[in-house]
Amino acid sequence: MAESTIGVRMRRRVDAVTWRFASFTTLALAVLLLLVPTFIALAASFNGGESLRFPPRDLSWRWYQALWNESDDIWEAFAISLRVSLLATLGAGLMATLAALYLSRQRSAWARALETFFQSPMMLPGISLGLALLVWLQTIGLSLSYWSLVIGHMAISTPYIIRTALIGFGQIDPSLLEASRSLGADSTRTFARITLPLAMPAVLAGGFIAFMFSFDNVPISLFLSDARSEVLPIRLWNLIENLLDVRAAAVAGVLIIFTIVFALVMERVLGVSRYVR
Amino acid sequence: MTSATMPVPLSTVMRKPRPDSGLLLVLPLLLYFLIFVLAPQIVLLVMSVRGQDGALTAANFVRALSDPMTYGVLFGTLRLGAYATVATVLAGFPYALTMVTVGPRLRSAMLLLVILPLLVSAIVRTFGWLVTLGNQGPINALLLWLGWIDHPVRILFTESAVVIGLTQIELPMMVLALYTVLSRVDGSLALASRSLGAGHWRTFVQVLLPLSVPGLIGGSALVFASAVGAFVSQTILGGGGLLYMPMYIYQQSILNQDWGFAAALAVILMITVSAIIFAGTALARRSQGYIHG
Repeated sequence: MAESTIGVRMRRRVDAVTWRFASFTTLALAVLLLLVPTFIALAASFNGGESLRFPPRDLSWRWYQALWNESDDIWEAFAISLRVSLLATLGAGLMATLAALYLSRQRSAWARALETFFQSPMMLPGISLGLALLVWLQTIGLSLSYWSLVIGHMAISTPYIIRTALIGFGQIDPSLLEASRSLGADSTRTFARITLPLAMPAVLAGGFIAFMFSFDNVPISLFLSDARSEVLPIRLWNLIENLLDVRAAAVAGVLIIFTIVFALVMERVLGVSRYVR
Repeated sequence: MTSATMPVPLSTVMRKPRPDSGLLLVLPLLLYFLIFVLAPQIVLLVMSVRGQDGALTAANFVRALSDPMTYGVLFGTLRLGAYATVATVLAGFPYALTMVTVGPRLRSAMLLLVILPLLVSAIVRTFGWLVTLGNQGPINALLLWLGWIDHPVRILFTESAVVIGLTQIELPMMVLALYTVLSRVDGSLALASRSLGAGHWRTFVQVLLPLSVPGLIGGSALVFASAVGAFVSQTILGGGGLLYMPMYIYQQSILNQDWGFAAALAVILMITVSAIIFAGTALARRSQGYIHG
């Protein structure tokens, strides 16, 4: 009897130890995995030599200086990306918010199907989306321009905004709307004074996420941009393929800092992390 | 609609304009999606079954499906998606599980640690891997320093490099999907299982794993689809020697101007990916039903 108790205890002990060990190792690995590329890219950008290495041989700002002083091509691409992604997020944000307002009130299968339809660009390979859109624009006789880029980016921005906006509208306590209506506000006023302010953080959080993904998109831009509108990720890709150009590291460094600061501010203001699930 | 045959309560009449105004809300996005998402996909489908003369033909599909290269590239791409999916599950599950067990402060820190990389440009992170995995990178430096290798090993421009890069890029998606499901699981279930004598492992396999199947399905579908379509990471980390479906489609369309063939390849890719996701989802749902008896 005593032996079997010891046996059980031993087994429990082994079970707990192996479990803790396995959890801890994989957890550490995941944290490392999440941090490594960003950290290394940032560190490599302060490299003084002509080639990319880590740890950097001698620290220097030279690639940031090169980026600041002699990189009109990169700044031009940045300006185009910024405009395209802002316009696309704005357009998609307006349409998706209105659609989400309707969909959040509906329980029908038809509404759920629409929801899936609006989320579909997230599941389609970007390359098929871009190719299809290019062929279609040529079919209907729309020439490629800055605006074709915006149209394409709106499609990939929509899913993120629809998602968060649905969460935002869904979280509103219906009794608040009832109260507003019973106090004499019509539906427009209720929407403007109650619904919209309450759902705004969710919509803006979705807009922020959509903007970041649009800003980073290559496949759509590759098919839809004309010769004059090169977006930043494609410029960056060209710099990376051309390995001697260490300015790529400086661009990466700037983007990392910009993203982290922007994301932390957004987290503070809107609580983005509440809406990403 | 039925007002002619049946007496209609006043409230229904009053409410009648509302569905219409609701439809007006959804109309702009619906129109946009019909014109710029659905119509292009239909045109792509039509183009894949049309020859140079515009007649209906299966020539593009016959050409694609009789070429061994198509299979090689397609299977290579799907394998990439499978590896990335498995790797993100293995690395993401303990992370998500830890997130639901720790206190609120640590939890929000861990959530931020997942969201920040997610928002950092995938190209920037791919670039980070380019430096990390390169011959002069820290991995090789570490292995050399440990004395495990004499010469830098080539990691970059191999399938492993692409899998590592994609695993990192897609990991946040998997963690978020799993965390969402696990945070809804009643914590007392695991506690009950343990107090009834089941160990940590048994509790994990018999209680937590079955309960997280919806998250696994959602996360896996998302990770698989985006890993298969991750054009830039595949190209940069795979180098010139490895060809994957997105690049193949791009080459055939823009560079070779062989639009019909490119369209056929795109259709083949979309059908296989959707079929795999659909089959995987159905299978997982069934096994979940089986587990719950």
